[in-house]
Amino acid sequence: MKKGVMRPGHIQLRVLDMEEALKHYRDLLGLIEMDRDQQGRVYLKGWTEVDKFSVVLREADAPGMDFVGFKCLSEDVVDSLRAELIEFGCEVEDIPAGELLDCGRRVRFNSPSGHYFELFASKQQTGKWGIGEVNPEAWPQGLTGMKAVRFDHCLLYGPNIAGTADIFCKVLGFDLAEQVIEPDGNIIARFLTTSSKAHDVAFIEHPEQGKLHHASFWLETWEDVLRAADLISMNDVSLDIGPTRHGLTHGKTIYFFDPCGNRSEVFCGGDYHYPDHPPVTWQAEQLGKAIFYHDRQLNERFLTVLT
Amino acid sequence: MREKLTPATGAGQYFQIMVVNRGEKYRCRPGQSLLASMELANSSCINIGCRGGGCGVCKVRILSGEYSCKRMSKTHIAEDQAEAGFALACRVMPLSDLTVESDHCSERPHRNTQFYSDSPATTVGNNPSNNKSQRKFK
Repeated sequence: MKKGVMRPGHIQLRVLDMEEALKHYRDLLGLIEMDRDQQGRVYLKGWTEVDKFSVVLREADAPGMDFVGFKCLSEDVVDSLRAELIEFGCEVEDIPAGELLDCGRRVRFNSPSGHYFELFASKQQTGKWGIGEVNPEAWPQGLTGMKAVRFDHCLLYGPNIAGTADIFCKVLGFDLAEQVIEPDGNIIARFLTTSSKAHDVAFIEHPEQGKLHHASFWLETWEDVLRAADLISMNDVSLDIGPTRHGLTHGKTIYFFDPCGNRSEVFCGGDYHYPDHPPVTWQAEQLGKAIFYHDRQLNERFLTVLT
Repeated sequence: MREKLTPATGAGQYFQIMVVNRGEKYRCRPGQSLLASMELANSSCINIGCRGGGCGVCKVRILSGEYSCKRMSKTHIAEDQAEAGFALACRVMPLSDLTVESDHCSERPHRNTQFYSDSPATTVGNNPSNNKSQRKFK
């Protein structure tokens, strides 16, 4: 949080059918439906999240990600970073307060990898869902499905991720926590953090612009990940891979698809990062093990299926 | 007396799917998708992606037969392509025997779907949502 960017605050995903999508994000993942707006967008969040929402679903004719927004410490931080983004060469768009329900003004900017990102500092805080702020219980009763704890990060694919990572590291104060390097020194995967998490946003080099690999939600234990796998089978959900462990970040994970093909992850555990840590490096020759620590083999679908 | 085993409703009825470029055929029950029935037949003559109409990996061209289609990503199946018989196998519900051609995923177009917003936005510099070419970064 060197420059005042705290965490991923929200992600807006496009879905082909809202009611089908809600069966996935609300009923299966267990996110809490918080609100709906006049455009028909639906707002959700994991139960531990204090802000009102972290996932926004928008019905559209092609799935994928519209943008991911990062919450900053203050409006002053947003102002100063906005100026720095323009200086750096980003195109910046000011989105007025209220365009997302109960969210303050946002500063949206583009990136060489073709993704759109946002900075904001104000959003209504409704508190953790189902438990109080004083003498809180361990968890709320009445959660459904996988009982996702929080929206954690997303992995994005696009060209020139070095350029996008420069914006995050040089302008927004993120650190490179983990990376994959080819023999010639080319970095093909960059996992960036603005906290002590192994990744708050991650990028993999890919020729098509603006692609989403997955949106990820945090669970507490490996037992929770196995239970998520059971629910995926019980509900005949499209499974990608897992349960398994990554080499990169060492997280324990399972991947699956929402009803229109956006990939979801639920995971637990993994590495931590402090600003004085050097990046963790995986060599591209070990990419199979870096991605799937147990199988140690690349999976074509995991690498190429994107929205 | 043992109860007579009766097949479930619709059992025994199926459509024949011919995948001409692979020289393979398999059976599809009514109500099953072209891709799900291929997976149940332990075939791999159509590539499997997200199974949700989003990624374009299972793109096929349907050469003959009747079918219905659930909503598919416009990024991968534009309207003119749908009219030409292209479809994503995970969203195709056969209504008769079908003859199809698989392995059309390499034709995936490179197109960005832009976000949109109903609310007015004050724009500084070029508006990314109205400008398809990426500005050069320093």
